[in-house]
Amino acid sequence: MVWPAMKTPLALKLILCGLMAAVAGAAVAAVPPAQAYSGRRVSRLSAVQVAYLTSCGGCHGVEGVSAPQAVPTLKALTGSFLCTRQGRQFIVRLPDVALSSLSNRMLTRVMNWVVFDLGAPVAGGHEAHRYTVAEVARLRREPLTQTGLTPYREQVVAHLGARCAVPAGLTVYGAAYAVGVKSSSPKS
Amino acid sequence: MNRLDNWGERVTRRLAGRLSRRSALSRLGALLVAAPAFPLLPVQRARAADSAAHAQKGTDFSRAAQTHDDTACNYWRYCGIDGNLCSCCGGSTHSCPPGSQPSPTSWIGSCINPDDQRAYLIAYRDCCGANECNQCSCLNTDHAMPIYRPQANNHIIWCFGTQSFEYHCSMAVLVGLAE
Repeated sequence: MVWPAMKTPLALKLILCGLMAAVAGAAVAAVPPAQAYSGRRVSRLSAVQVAYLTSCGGCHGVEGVSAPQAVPTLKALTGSFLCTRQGRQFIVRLPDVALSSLSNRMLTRVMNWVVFDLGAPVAGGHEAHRYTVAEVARLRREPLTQTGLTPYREQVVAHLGARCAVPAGLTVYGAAYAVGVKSSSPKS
Repeated sequence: MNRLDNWGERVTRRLAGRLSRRSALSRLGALLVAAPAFPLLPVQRARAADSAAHAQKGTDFSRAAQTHDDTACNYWRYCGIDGNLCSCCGGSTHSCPPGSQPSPTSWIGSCINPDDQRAYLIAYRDCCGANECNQCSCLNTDHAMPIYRPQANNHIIWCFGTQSFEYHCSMAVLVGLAE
């Protein structure tokens, strides 16, 4: 079964492109080896880490890095989005953030963890403060579902670059997409 | 002794005079029927509640899971796996067989370890870039979502970000203990 050839509704395509954006041949060297998690020491995960891992960490990576060209890196980068109001709002209004199944309260905790812990350092300025539950609740009511995400992201990042010193890693993401499903038993 | 005999006779005769045989039988019957309807000692009730809570913990999969053979579909970490077990293909639960590459992307679910009854996060990470292994095909669905929630769907080939989309096998990498 070749799934991507199927006619899919636009909404499904958006979801797939938003989260599952992938390109064959993305920098494999930057991939953290799965063996890194095979040690005997089992890390204990807090509630916010569990929410991050089960809602975001599969694609974005357990430590916020997966395939940088295919999936945006979070580690040491998300803090930069708090340089501008537009950037601060952008990362909550992303469809897979705004429309996630997390409650407002837990989504707020996850965003603060992703920005201030995983994504540190945080850019200075007026917008460099923690998200409140009310703010996240308001922003997620306006998900970016009617916007071409790739050009909009480029615009957001360009504004960040004009205002703050942003890491070069912010411009790595954004390339062609490829999506697939397993071809034969038992996934066919 | 004589006095005990007399007392016994008196009690029996008084009972016989007051109660009919049918009345005695009906009361005994009612007692037998009604007894199970009343919970007995509080200790027993507490234990029953305890075991009910215990039974609700976990999933059908975790109650039948084992922790010693990672080449069997009912190994505890495989509660949401769909595909060929890398453990049967020359790899392991956390390493790809030679000639294939681990995907940097995966979906993350959680499984209960029957040894300690605690939930662990598991990354279902596919190995890609080699012909499909076709050994130990398993399909378990704990925490897996339908394909319209692709972030947690186990039917998708999770090879996003590898050089090849050719599916080889699936791992179940232990991410950590959910506190």
